[in-house]
Amino acid sequence: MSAWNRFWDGFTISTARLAVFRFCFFLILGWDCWDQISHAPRYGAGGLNVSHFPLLDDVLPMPERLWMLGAYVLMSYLSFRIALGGATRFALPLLTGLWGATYFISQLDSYQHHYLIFLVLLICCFIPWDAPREDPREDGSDVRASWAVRLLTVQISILYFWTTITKLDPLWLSGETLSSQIKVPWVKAWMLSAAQTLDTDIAGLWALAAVAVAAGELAVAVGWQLRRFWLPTLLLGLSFHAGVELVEFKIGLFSYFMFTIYLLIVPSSVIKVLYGFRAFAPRLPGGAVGTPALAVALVAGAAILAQIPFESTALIVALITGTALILEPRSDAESRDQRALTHVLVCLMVLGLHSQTDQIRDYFRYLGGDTRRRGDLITATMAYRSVTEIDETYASGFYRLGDLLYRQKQYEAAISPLERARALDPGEWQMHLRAAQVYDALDRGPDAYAAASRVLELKPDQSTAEKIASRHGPSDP
Amino acid sequence: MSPRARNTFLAIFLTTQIALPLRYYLRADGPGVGYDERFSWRMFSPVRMVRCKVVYEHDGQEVKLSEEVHSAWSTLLQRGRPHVIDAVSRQLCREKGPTVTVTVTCKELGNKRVQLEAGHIDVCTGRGVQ
Repeated sequence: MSAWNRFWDGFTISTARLAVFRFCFFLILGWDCWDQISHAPRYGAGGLNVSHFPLLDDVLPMPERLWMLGAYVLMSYLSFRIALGGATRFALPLLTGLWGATYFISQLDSYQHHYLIFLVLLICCFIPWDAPREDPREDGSDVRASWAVRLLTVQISILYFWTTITKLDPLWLSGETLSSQIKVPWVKAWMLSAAQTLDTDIAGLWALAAVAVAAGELAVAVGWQLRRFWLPTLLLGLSFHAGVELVEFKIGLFSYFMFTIYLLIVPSSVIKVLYGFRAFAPRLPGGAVGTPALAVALVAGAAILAQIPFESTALIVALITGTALILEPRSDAESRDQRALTHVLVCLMVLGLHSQTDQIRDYFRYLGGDTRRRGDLITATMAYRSVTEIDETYASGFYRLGDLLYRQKQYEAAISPLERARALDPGEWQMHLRAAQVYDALDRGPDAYAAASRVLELKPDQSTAEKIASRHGPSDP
Repeated sequence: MSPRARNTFLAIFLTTQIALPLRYYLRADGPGVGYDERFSWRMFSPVRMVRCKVVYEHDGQEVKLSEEVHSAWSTLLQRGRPHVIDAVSRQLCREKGPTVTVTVTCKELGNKRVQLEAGHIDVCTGRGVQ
């Protein structure tokens, strides 16, 4: 066997490690996909797009927000499904294709780690997740060879290597870049205090930190390829990414993805403990309940989507339930039951995200904000109406809706959202002002005067409010 | 997957991962050409700190970009992304017609100012503007 083949084929990984990595990585991925929903309105807005392959822009389709929205929901669903152990044979290539399409279609997504995720997903398509094992063990300690997992480790080394090269720039080595990028006051104060304690100048300390980062990244790049150095590599790598989170760099979920990738090199004892948690996974009792369970699963999927006020619910339901049907392979009853249960759990996870996050509200909020700025008041009004339906406590949404209706001279219709906004956020003078203007336009003097007076309480020199108040105020005796 | 197919996949994958970042470092030198760091694994690079001011004018009047393009594109313009600057130019030419000029002035780390576009050329026709 050649050294090349030995390098790729000689890499082994335990069943338990693979399962733990899959669960954690795809869980974060599902979250990240959901997290991108609010960004969907920017795609295709104003008919402008630049793909990651600008030479192909004339032939590539213009991305549309609805398709991006559908893709993000579907990817979230698929990721959770894979995390819970379902259908990697079909779901993984589908997820990889969708992720690649949504990433490469536009430079609007320029996160480097989203490019990394595409590469990881591509590699994951070749990992033997469900390959039959010759010597299966209950604790997952049996191992299997996988050139794809080896490639994943190589990809991580490549990433750290090139990012080390980036830092050979004099502007990095001088510490100037690092000190400019870190904005968190406590880190700046800590560095200043350390410089005073060590009796050195602060610039020198930043330079030292910058060199340490570059050296650390190079060490990690090498360490990923040397199994006996995995523990120090793990500690160094985790410290680095934890540090990145501590200094609050705006890099999305990059660090969290890296934490999950480091599961590939954590000590086996940790993996054993984590793998043990699978005992808590819900299981259906034995018996032929596959068909009813599947029916319940599909209804659950549709019901969840009905909860989410999408622009085109029918399309999304068709996408997800259709995919669910395709991904349900014919198998023995127990396996089918388990798959149906997984589907229900995944749907519940999606619903959980919907209820616990503001992504859908923000999808409409960003859509409304952009179309309002670009003069499409009809779409903006539709979007803000959705915002107010989704979140009945969001004052700004009601204010924007009232404002848009006022601008379109729909004064009667503007009253209700503006009054709601005033009730929710009585300290915001703009909301009272817009209400005063609406009442003024409708010639409802006392209401206009009351609203304008409230503006002047909050902002005494507001000239428009002064005019309305003087127009409708009580006459001098 | 056959060993041959596997090896072909590995060769393409690894070549891409070496060539794409290398392309960044072997690029032709010039103002602003290094502002596009995609696919080069340049995490936390000094280039990330570049801030550009991009001003489009139509018939001598400044174009309000917020009324023309999504704010996410404005963010990419501020990073001096050349393809985005060109695409917005083309968009404005399509929608407003000549004469559209663009001025791009960037501030790099260390307060170094770089002028990428001086606004002397109508981006729709390629002709000089008085």
